[in-house]
Amino acid sequence: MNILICGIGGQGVVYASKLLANRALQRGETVHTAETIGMAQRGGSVVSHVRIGDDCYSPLIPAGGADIIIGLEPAETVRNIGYLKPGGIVAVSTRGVAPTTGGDYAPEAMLAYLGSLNINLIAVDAEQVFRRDGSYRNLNVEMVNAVEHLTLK
Amino acid sequence: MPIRLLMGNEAIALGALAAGVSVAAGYPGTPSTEVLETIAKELDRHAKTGIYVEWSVNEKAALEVAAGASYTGARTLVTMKQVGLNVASDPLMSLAYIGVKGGMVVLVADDPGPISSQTEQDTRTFAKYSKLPCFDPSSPEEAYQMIQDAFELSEELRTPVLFRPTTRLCHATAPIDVQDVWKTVNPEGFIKDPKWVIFPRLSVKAHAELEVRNRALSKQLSDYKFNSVEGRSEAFGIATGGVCYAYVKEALKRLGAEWVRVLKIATPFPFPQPLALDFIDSVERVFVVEELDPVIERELLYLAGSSGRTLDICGKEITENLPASGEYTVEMLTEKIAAYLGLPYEVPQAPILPPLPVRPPVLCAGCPHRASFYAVKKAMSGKKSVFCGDIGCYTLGNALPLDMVDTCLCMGAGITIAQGIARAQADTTAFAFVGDSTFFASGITGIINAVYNKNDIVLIVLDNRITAMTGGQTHPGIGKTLMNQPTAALNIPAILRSVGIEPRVVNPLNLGEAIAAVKAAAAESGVRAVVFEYPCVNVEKPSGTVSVNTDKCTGCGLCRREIGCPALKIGEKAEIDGSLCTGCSLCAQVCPFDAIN
Ligand code: SF4
Ligand code: SF4
Repeated sequence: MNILICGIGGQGVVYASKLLANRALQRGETVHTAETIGMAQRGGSVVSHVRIGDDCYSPLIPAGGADIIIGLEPAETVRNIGYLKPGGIVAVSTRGVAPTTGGDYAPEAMLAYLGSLNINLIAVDAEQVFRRDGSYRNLNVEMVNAVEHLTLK
Repeated sequence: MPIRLLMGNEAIALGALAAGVSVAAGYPGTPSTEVLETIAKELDRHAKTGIYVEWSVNEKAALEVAAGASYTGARTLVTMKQVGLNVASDPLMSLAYIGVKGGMVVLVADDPGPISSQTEQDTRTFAKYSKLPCFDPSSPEEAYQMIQDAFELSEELRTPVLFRPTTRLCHATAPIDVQDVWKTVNPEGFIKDPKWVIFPRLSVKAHAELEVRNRALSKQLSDYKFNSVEGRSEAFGIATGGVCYAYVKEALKRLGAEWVRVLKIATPFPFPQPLALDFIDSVERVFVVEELDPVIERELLYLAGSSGRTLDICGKEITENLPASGEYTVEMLTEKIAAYLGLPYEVPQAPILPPLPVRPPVLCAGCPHRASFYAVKKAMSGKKSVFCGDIGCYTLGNALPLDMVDTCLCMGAGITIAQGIARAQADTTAFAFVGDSTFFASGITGIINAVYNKNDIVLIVLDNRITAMTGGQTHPGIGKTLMNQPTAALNIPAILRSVGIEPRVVNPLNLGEAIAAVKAAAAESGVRAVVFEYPCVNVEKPSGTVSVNTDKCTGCGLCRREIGCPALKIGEKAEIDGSLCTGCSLCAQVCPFDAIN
């Protein structure tokens, strides 16, 4: 099972992959991950790869190899969609984050694009997390929980 | 033995501890930083004494501290990123001749891509240049074992040994069986001997010995367990090493071509020649797969040529089958290997994506550097100036809308480049921006150069009280060591005063004062300095946010256009993302309608 988590630096992508990986390890599975650490963590595009199973060599998931994508931001999800297996699952937060260096962008267009693909799309409303916590900080954990709930029973 | 999920860098740290390392030193640099941090954490966890770890002031200092400890017989580790090796190369080149007593491993993390670095230099090439043995692990699991072998070899040969992981290994995690018992080494102590003093007469002899040793080592390393050959093909071979070995294995699995004979090189220098010759003789052609320099490729070509073998060797250099630079991927290698093997492979169509927002990394919301850059920008608006930047979070001051970094070369270079520009172009005010950690690492020499030679620059010190870019490490200005011990906190303004510069010390978040200080400094001549002091938002978590008075806000968007804070969004009116905003109030000071408080 290959899971790709993507978002923007500061959204807790690395934390989410550590959480997923440690839970898999506790279930007795072999797990490998690869994370983006460094400059991109300051608001750039960030991706984590989680590979569960004995037969993985590369720390990174090959293109077309992800069973699931957890996308903490719509445009980042689209950016990484080439990693998804045909018919794979995509859990995406519908809340867009505009780039700070200027230029507007419409998250709706990203969600519409995802909607047009032959994939298993789950839209997650980040505002629910915001209403509960007053911040989006726990979105990463919520999405990991939701995906595990859906796929691991 | 417990199985732990470890990042490559953590595995390397635990491997070094298991091997009995007792002095470790380094300078932070992605992707190497977590190695020393892990050692410090493990010491805490085990309440271990007798092991010492430090953030040195720079890589040269780190290597020399470790060398001294190794002279006594202690096992030592030095860590740095690849460009750090340029700083440490002066002591290392000589140490190769002098040698050590206790095992000494110099970990240098390379960064193909580069993902977070200035260059794509290859430490394997440096190994050959410095004549030092080099280990190149292919996975975190292997790295954990290999670093222990590196200590053994170093001590056996009494030479420093290079250990060279790359980013994808440093930052990959894997389940690892960790030994909780650490080897104890009892250092004999420093024994006085002329051999510790480098002299030309000694070096002639030492050089000759190095060449003999490395020749013998090439044979010895042919039997090293991580230099290996697998697969049974008598026609097709692939030679590889490092993380590319993992990519090759993945590609061969996808192609159902696990029969290909694969040579894995774990010690690129000295190259295991007998093993490689056997490999060459067992196949008809070889495809060499390696990132960065064609190290393995050249070794194989040299071996084949000098021993009169005839076979096809292709790779990146002569046949240009693979790119000469940049990071490799499994996708790319699957395609290239399929072509090499003549296997059918349908290259997956990359999906056609809608236009995506570009997301370069930016300064955090509330980052004091934003305010400092903005103050200089305002103060110098319309005046001819050049802004020389440096290495750290503040390199990100180059991004729009700030656009305040005109040059960036290497650690500390901004200060001296500004002096050159001012000398050659007298009508320009040359600014040099330097962060606190870089100031200590390599800024001070450049400042003294400016004072001594009466050069004309405005030095801007961005003191945010941390080494921020690499994730928040301490440095000599903080008052705390890596082992959490209190220590003297060196004062940057006092250091400047001691060399005859009277700095203006300002809080950058007080915009009016900050602009006035820069204007005043710019109007003077000689070496002037403004020290902007305010902690990184990740050091002191600020509380509080600002809010927009929607009656006053006209929605003009000036605040965002001017400073580009990620917590600001402009819809009908300005909006503040309360989960990002730190309440720094810079936007409030920029707003002409007094709409933010
Ligand atoms: S980590 Fe600190 S120094 Fe770096 S951009 Fe963020 S606030 Fe600024
Ligand atoms: S006060 Fe303004 S500039 Fe400062 S973090 Fe908040 S939104 Fe950004």
